[in-house]
Amino acid sequence: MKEDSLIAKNFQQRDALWVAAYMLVFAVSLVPFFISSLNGPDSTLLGFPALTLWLTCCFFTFLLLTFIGYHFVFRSWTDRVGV
Amino acid sequence: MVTTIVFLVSAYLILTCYLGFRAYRGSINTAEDYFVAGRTVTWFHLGLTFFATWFSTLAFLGVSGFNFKRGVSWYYAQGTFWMLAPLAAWLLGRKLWERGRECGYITPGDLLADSYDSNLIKLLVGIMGMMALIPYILVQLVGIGKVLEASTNGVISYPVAVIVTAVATAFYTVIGGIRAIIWTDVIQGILFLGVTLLTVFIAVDAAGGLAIGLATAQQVRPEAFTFDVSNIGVPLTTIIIWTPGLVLLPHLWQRNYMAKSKESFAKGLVVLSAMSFVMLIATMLIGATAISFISDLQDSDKLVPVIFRDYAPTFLPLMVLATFAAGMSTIDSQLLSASSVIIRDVFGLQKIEPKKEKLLGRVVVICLIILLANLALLPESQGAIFTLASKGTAVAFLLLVPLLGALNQAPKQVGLVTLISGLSVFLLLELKVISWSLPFGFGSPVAAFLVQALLCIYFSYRKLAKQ
Repeated sequence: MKEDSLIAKNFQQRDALWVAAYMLVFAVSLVPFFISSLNGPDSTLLGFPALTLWLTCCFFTFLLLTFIGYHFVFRSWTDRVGV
Repeated sequence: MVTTIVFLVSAYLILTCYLGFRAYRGSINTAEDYFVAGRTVTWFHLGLTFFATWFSTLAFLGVSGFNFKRGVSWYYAQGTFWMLAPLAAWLLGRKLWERGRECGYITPGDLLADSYDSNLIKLLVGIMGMMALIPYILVQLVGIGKVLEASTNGVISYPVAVIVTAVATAFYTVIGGIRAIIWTDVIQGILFLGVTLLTVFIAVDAAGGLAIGLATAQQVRPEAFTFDVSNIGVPLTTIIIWTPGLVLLPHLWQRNYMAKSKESFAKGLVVLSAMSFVMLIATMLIGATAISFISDLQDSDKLVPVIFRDYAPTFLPLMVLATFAAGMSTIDSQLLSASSVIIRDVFGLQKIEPKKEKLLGRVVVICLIILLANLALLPESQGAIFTLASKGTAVAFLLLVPLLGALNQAPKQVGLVTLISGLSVFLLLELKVISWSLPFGFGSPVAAFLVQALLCIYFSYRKLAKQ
């Protein structure tokens, strides 16, 4: 019983941390919209249109979070749920 | 060229019908097997069927066009909801999987009606499901008909294209059920992902290279690479209503029931995420680089056909085939889903013998496709269809609060009140009966959601207070 509740607690913490990570990246993706040097008609980053490159990096981070989620969150669910 | 297109489309139709027959041979005579594959779908097939069903003709043709026309505002909205959708599926979809497995659910109405113990909720959810599904099927039929007619210079006329598509889709859906649909989804998904990547190479080459193309595009149309913050509500509304679409749209909701195991469900989402990311970058590059070499395009949906026609005509038949496949992969899923929703949610016939339910499912699919094909052949209905189809996802979004309530043991009133209030607010605002809108461009689905959320909180607190 005690072991079950520990697993449940860890599982919920991992879930929450993972969702928080997604929300953080979501919030970060909005930041350049409010910076005129990045949200201008001539704005570039590393030679590419600034917002396009920034958003692409954010979306790639979302993808990485999915892979991380599989290893650290999904698996804890599979262990927890059982057959 | 026309001969090649006819040959490829014909060969593809024969393949789908063969897969339908193979699925029929391997099927079990129950409604659970017919509609949700007996909950035995493994991770690869689950990921591919989610992908092929989620990405329709709209994704293949329209999204590249939206990137071309609206630039970074669309890219932001599209990328965010495509990459957040698996998160929503993880948070909500796994609950659907668990409950579906435990209680034998097949439709959205099954879960919500059981949770709230209300047949009226089942009927309402069924009607909303049909509002979300039917116009979208029509849009796919109309789209395929137009593409085939235009690309073959009328050799395949619009009516013939619609009828052939309808008959072929109905054939493998009727005889093979969801298993045939999943097998065809695997092929369809790989096909239109492959052709999308081919389109990227063609577009980037036409632009003179990636860096040059994007730099030129930014000079040609700089507003496409800036974001209008004053109207931030518009992309945010798209993100809000589309992110849970992977769970709430009826034909996708049912896919959450289908996983063989928890491992299959989790891995399937990873497959979907990876493929979504590839499509996301590909459609962005197609649209963004095309700004540098295409200047006078009125209808952005025609961007991809124009790119193939002008820069890679040899591959045009492949583009037509991919469009065809993308459309069929959505029509078949929605058709079967609509059949199950009509039988179980609208008419409440879930307690009939499983064999009879399967037979009835087949009959309903045939009746539906006959009706829809006839509607698709009426030119006067097409304008309204496109408008309605775009609202389908918004209608499905109204199921979010009732679902959250159902998964958290909310009181019975929450289900009925939030469904009725959400739909009422949405329709009153959409039909302009009430002229009011949220600030910053947020749309009517968000207003409806806020009303639903407030009512849910109110009734939940009332229940807690009584306890």
